[in-house]
Amino acid sequence: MDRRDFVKTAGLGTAALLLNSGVGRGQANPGRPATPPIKVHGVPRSKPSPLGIPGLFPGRVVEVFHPDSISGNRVSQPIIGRMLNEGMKDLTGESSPAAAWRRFIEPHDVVGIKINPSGAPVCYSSPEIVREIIAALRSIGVPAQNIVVFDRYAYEIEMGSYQALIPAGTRLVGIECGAFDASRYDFDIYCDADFFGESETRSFLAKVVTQELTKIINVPTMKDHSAAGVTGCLKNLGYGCFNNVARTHQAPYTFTDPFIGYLCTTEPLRSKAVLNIMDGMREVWHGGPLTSNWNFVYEAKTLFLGTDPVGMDTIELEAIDKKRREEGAISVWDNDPKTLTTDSREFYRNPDKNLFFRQPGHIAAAGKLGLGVSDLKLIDHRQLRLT
Amino acid sequence: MMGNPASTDRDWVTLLSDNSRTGGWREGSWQVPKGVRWQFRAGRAILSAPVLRDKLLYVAEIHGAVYALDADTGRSRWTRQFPNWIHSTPSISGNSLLFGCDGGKVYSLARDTGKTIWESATRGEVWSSPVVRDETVFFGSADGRFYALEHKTGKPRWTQNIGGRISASAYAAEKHVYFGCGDGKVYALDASSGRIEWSTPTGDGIDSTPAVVDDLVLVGSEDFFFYALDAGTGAVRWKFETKLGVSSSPAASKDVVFFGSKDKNIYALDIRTGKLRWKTFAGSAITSPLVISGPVVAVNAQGPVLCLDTVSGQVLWRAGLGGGLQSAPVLAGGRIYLASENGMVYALE
Repeated sequence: MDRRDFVKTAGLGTAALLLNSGVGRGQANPGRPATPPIKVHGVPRSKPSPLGIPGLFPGRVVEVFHPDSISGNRVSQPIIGRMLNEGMKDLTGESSPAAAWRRFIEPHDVVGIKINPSGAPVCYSSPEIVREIIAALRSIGVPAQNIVVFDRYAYEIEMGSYQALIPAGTRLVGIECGAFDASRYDFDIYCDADFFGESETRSFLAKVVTQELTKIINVPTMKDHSAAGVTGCLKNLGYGCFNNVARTHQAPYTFTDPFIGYLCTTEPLRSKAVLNIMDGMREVWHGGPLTSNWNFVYEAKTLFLGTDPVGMDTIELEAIDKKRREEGAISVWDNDPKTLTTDSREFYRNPDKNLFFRQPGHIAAAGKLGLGVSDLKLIDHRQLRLT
Repeated sequence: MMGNPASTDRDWVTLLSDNSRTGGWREGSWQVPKGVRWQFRAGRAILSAPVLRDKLLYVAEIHGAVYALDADTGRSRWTRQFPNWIHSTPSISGNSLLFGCDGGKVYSLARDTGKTIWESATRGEVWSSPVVRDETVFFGSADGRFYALEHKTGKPRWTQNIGGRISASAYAAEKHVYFGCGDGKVYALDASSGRIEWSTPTGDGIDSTPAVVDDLVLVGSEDFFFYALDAGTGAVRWKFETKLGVSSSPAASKDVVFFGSKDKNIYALDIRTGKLRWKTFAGSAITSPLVISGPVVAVNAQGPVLCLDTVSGQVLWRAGLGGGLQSAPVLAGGRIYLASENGMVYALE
């Protein structure tokens, strides 16, 4: 059996492939085609790492807040450093930040930092956080040349000016440059599903993940998402490491639920993604992921840390929906057809409008695939308030 | 004497036209392009800016191909494929074409044939555009070092360890070389020895290529400010705050400096005082360099290219041909040359 022949179905069998969550706490998606079978072609016979999703601390989410982490619209790197240190110690129970980092990373690792630059310059993985993560990795002996900051789109990395802002010696990889650029994807590792009759039904995993990195630290942002409901740990990994994923959206329908979860089950991505540090400095509560409307951006001044992406995204979803309630906007779960618009300008200005029947249920669906804990009652949500 | 001046107003030999890094400023008139003279499909994204000399347009695409195109017809004269990505805008000096690669090498090619004259290695990506002055090639690397090489042979003259990642291009003056660094500082090095003459901190990394006008070094920082520094001492003469980071490289005329910010505005400031002359909302974050031709300033606004009146800031013309973010337009010989993120090169006139 070669890698192409190996078909893994996330260990759940065909019935599970047809689970059509997307319903969740909201209403159904009237008219959405049935969820097609999704075939996961990961590395065959790979032994999952115990560090892999949901990792060392399933269900644990550490939330760290500091009131001065943004000052004058700028993220404070020294304060980020303190927040990161305290959060890492609380997550792991270790007494020092270095010992905490060593639970996940060894000096010989090649570490990828998966950023989310989309949405720059308004809301994107803060370079200040990335720099502090790099400093922490260096402090435990990871050489600079073994640290890779990466994302799918080179132009978005440039937009965030990471090329100037990350330390010398570290590498910066934009997987795609230009339309239809698939040269940096591994054609043996993919997820295959025909959602809307598209001509290419496969989404390939990036070679930097399959061939270069040994560990991944995921640094998503805290944003609502026009299709997925929110974009957090799961979507930053799945839709940020595989190509050809926009095909899952055909307004007003989207198959982000359950496709995001399936992508994250794919080996070796699942085993290498050992830690999530969510940038909650600025929270986009409407218009994500690409909004530039500051009216919907809130300075939450928060970092979230955890190994369980489902638990973290569940907490993120609750926070964003709470903010929407406070602002008098409809819930991300609201699937009333009357909320739909085909005018993106209207969507970007009106928080009661949707472009899609949103699918925040993708988080719980990922939980059902074994990627973590989505039941709020079972999540160990720790809140640190620093001053 | 500058090493690679644009020989005529039909040439555009390095990033921002020539070594003055003023963005192509010349006296003269400007006409709205009537249409596309030719277009060329490179096939891959182009993030660096084209350069032009003697009716040959040189374009480097991201996946390592370098093209020499006939500026009148768009036909390829020669093509070279290199093993690494290219973000660096090529630079022309004499018969050589110089550029850096993500693999860490800087190449010098024969401009007429594309054959390699020499290559030199660094230990990090070279995104900056090499600048040539007095037979010396200057550039910074992501390995945190700044290099000076002999133009004819590529042999090292000196290397200075800066420590921070350098992705912006330098300005080479008669005695000093100026550049911004990812460590947030603007540096002035002695051009003959590489000794650090001064460094001035800003609040965040610098991705903007400086322009030098008289005794002022003009440069933007990710800390949201645009700076005018004393070229002799590095002292801050004035600084101007925008709402977001300034990674766009400025263009400068006699008394006005133009730059874009990620806050989506294009600014025109008085060079002497830093006072705002005008600002124009561009609709998109501005990260690519601005260029000037006669009475207009042009910029790639993440897709559309805008031409604005230098005096009023009014948008005179816009073209929506491509999406290159780093690529700057070339305004020379009555034409506009554009390279786009979807791999197309256009000549408008």
